[in-house]
Amino acid sequence: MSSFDKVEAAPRRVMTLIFLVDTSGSMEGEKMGQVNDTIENILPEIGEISSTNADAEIKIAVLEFSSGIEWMYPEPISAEDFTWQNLEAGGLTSMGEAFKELNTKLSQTTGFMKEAAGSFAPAIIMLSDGEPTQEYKHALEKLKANNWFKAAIKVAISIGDDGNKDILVDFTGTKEAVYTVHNREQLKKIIRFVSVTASQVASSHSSVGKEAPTTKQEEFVDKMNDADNTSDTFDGVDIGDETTNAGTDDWGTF
Amino acid sequence: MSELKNGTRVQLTNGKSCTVKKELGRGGQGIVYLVDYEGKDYALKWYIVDYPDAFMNNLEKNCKAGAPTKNFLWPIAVARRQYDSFGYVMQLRPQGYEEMAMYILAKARFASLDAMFNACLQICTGFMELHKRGLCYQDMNDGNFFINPRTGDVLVCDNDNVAPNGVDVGILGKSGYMAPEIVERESAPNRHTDYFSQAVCLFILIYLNKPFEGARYLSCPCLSPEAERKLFGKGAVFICDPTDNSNRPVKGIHNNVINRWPLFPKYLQKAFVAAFSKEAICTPGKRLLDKKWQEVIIQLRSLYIKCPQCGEHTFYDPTTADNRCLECGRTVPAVTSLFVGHYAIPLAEGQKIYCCQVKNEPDYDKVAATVVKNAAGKLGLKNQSDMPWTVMLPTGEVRVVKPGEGMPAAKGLKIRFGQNETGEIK
Repeated sequence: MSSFDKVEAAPRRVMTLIFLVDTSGSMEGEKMGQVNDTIENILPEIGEISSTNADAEIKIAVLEFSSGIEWMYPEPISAEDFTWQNLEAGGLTSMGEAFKELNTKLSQTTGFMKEAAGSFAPAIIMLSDGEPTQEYKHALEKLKANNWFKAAIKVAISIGDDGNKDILVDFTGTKEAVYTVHNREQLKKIIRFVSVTASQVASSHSSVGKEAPTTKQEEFVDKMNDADNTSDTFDGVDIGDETTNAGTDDWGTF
Repeated sequence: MSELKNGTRVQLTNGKSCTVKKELGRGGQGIVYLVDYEGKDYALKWYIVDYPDAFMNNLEKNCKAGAPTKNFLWPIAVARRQYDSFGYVMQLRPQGYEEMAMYILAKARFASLDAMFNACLQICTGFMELHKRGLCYQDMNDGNFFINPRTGDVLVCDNDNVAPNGVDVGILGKSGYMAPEIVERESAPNRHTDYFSQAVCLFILIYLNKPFEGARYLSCPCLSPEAERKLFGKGAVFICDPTDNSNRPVKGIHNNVINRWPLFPKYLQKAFVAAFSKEAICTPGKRLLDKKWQEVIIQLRSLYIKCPQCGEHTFYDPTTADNRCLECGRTVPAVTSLFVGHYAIPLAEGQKIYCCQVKNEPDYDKVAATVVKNAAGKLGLKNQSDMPWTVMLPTGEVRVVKPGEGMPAAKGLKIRFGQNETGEIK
């Protein structure tokens, strides 16, 4: 055994990928089933990104909101070890409570951001198909003042035309990170694409250069826009407040 | 932009064509396909983002010039514009090569220090040849190198960004690898920014931690782009900077560099301290050139000898008084050494003297001499070069040692290697 044999993995920061999932009654049936199936199936891909990434380990946390809120697990879990638990829909849309809870967890002292080797800002993906059924503004304003949230990549997927796009734009801070999907195929493609792209951007050191984006959110949006121009992933999907495909909702029968 | 279907025939600018067999992977810039080109398997990188004609012309120019060394997965043919895009054909990555990130994650490790020296030398020499052509690589990071852990053989990928030095082709890089002036948005990539990134990559391969990620990096809870500008811009602090201890490696976290830093000779430490000094961080002209890095690694390779007492390998630096064996811990008795040009070479049994050390020869692997022991137990040098040596004895007497012949490794002898360098055994 030589003195040089003693080697361990260099430390990595942690990037937490947070799914904020609306599990209110309107999600029941195909939408909920599709969300469960899609996210469960992209986890191995996120795990692969994490296992080959020298900058950061990716952990996953899932917060569902309906009449109340609940984390799938109390702490974020490494993407490679994460086991998805089926979410069930039913009840109201306590979006405000979800914002409040997220604000608490986006903290180094009281929340998830207390990793020994430090963290990257998280990537937060919100999926919703409707309106909050309670006051949410105050909680969202407080969340928007949270420094972790400010630095995070924020994306929202509106499942169908009934989602409140204004709230989602307010949440993400940019129209360009709000996607409205109208059927199962689009939902699947967008969840996958958004999760992979956000994970890649959020878990790597920044791109630098004269023309480089100044925030991770910008870098993410740039990548999504590039993909929008070059692939069919976004066909039929409305971005921001676009209504080109409004009225085409098709979630099957249940 | 369209993706290519299996079986699609893609026309190349050299008048030939290749046929898509299947997709191998995709990234931000494009999709890589397995293709059949002239009856053999190759990779085709097919762009999914739009690039101007100037980019394609540059690609074609590089392709025509050929790879600087065998270490580059270089464009060997360019696919002309068709199906809304274009691309280039390159060699496939052979089996047994691992991305540099795998070394950082300790999922791959060099089989020996010799393999590590080889990897470092191939990197320095590859980029030296690329720079000699007036080109620069631009975006060097842990995703660009594939390295064979057994042999240390290196393959550099993503060569489509290679462009003439000073020409801004709008390439972005990765903070932590890119030079501070790029992080600060003051400069586009160039030869001098390559030098910086190259030193970062060498440091990582040798010490298995990152050069600017110590206590200061850890104290930043959220690595936002703004924080990265402070940590990797002109205010970057090298974790082993002798004049600034604000970013030291942290015990329990940066264990690799804490263990390995003292294991390598001071000579190597000095090179990194110079390469990452505050002056070199802020002044591109003060960085170590690839030629200098090549010299540093060649010297390092020569200092790695078999301990005459325990038989294990250790470093022995003839220019310092106290050399302790890394394995048995005992002081290594003074080893007679050859001093030639920039190099000091301890003449322990089995050590090799390379042609690049005794004459201006670019091939760092060609052996000029080996230290051998004769039946009487005396050490000598065997001439394995293709030129006779002229040896001057302390008495003034001159002898010729022809190729294949040997001479004693005795103090006081001076050797003129052909028409080249003269060395002295001390």
